[in-house]
Amino acid sequence: MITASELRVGDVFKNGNDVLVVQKLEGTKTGRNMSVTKLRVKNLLTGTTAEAAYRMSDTFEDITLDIKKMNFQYANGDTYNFMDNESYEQHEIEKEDLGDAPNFISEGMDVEIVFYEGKPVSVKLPILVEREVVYCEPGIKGDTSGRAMKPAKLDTGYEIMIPLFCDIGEWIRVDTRDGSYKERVKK
Amino acid sequence: MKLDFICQVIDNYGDIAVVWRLVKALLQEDTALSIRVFVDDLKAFQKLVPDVKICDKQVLTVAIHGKQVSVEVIGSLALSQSGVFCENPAQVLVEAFGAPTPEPYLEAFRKEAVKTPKLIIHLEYLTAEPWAQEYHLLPSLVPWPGVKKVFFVPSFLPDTGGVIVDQDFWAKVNLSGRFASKERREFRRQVTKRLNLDVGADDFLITLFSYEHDYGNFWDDLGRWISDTRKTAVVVVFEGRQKEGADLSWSRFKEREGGRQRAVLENLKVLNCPFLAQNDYDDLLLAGDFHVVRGEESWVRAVLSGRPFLWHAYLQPDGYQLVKTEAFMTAISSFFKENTGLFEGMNKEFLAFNQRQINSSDDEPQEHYSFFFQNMAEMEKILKNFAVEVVENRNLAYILLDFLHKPQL
Repeated sequence: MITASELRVGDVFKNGNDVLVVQKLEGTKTGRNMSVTKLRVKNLLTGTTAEAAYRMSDTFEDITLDIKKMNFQYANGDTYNFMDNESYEQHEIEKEDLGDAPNFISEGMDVEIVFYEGKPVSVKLPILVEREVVYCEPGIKGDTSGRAMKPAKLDTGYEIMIPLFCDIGEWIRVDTRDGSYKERVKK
Repeated sequence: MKLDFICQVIDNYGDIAVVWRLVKALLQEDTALSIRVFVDDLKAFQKLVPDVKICDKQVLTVAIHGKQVSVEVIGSLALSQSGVFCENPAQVLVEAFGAPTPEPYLEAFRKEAVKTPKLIIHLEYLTAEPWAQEYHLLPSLVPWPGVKKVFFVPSFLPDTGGVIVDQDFWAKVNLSGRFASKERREFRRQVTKRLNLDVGADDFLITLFSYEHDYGNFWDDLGRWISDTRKTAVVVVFEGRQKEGADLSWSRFKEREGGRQRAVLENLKVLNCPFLAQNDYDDLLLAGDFHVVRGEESWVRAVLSGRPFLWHAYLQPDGYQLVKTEAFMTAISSFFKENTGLFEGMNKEFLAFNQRQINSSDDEPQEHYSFFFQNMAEMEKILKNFAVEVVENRNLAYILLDFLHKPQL
């Protein structure tokens, strides 16, 4: 069994006879130190997607699926192409099945691809990924509090809020669970 | 329609207080509802409703529009047992604040749902945060044939589950008049007499009901206001979590001011009050002028009363109570358009009052109270407008019943 708090984008679980893959998830704090989560799930049997809310303590029957390490090659429109690192076999996944992953992956990056009945259904990302800042207003030296934020664009095109002290060309760690800035990385 | 409520008392009295308020509010909308309440702490329930007995099963009667309506209450011992208490599960199960439904009941519920579809309502905590609009009425997929589950999120915002109004309470809000009015004085006289509290009709009446807090600034500000205005004030301090902080700072204030401000101490009376039943607390709140409230149930009563108040939000890790406080202030901000200064003052004190990492009776308080004392009539006018908006457009019982009557099962 797996609890809602343990779910990550790309995880697959069973709800009755339905097999659901998590495409997107976001948690929020409610009252009395409790939390709930909102998921966008795709039913792998019917192809339909739905939004659903859960308590973090809700449990599901998880499914053990084939996971292969693959390399992201390129995107052609809404189709993303990945190559099996061992067999060199190529697989395509539609953008809508990747959840927020396109915000964090770039060509040449290794990711884990989840297979259901021989078909790639989702991508699992590490919790933290390193990405380059390609646009933001100039950094403010000396402001290292990290409390004041400014908008920025990453090399994947993803727009994110980063601290004032970060600058163009610098690398940052991003939390793939909620797309938030974590820390600056020295490269 | 039959509804079963599952209530788990986690701490304090808020869980069962909200559930019981909702039960009454639903019956006020539809007296034909058949309601059972499963609660795991009857002693907490008894504090709020003295008619409650400590036994497995009882029937409480509630006066609704002059008619006595029955509500079945199942106590803690029975809650985890299979058998008679799990027979005839209701069409709608309300899990208050995500209270876990005991497996024997759930088993019976699921079994019946195969023949007759059933609904589980996950009743969330009240919040003014925008996520309430996103989560309200979202399904929570469950693997049981015939069972649907949805999130129901109470909030001050539109397109949410709304706020528990309680028509009896609202009628009393209107009966108790405006600040310093003849109606208010008469309402206060009747209530304080019945509760045996020594309060004069012209006294400025304050109640303190919060989590642990240092009330040093409260006594200083109140003392200064009394000294400036020559008014008389009565402060009701309830037993419970705020009492130590209120007592400690009151002793310090008396010690410090006793010699030089005798007139202030003569015009300021402190009444220690036992925990009041829900109806009595409602009445005292409406008899009063300014209140410190906490959590959810007393917060909502304070909002609907229109009385100026300070809300002590439930302490959360990383100071998250401030996010909840800010969200509430944002929700009421549009009502202060004509007087943004009042909003700024209230906002500042609300945030200062909730600025804490731990609950402490002896800390360095950040908030000040003079702002409230000096702007009572104007603030009450604005807050009452907000209360009217909530009552007219965000009546939770009405919204819930409207949802339940739609063909979704």
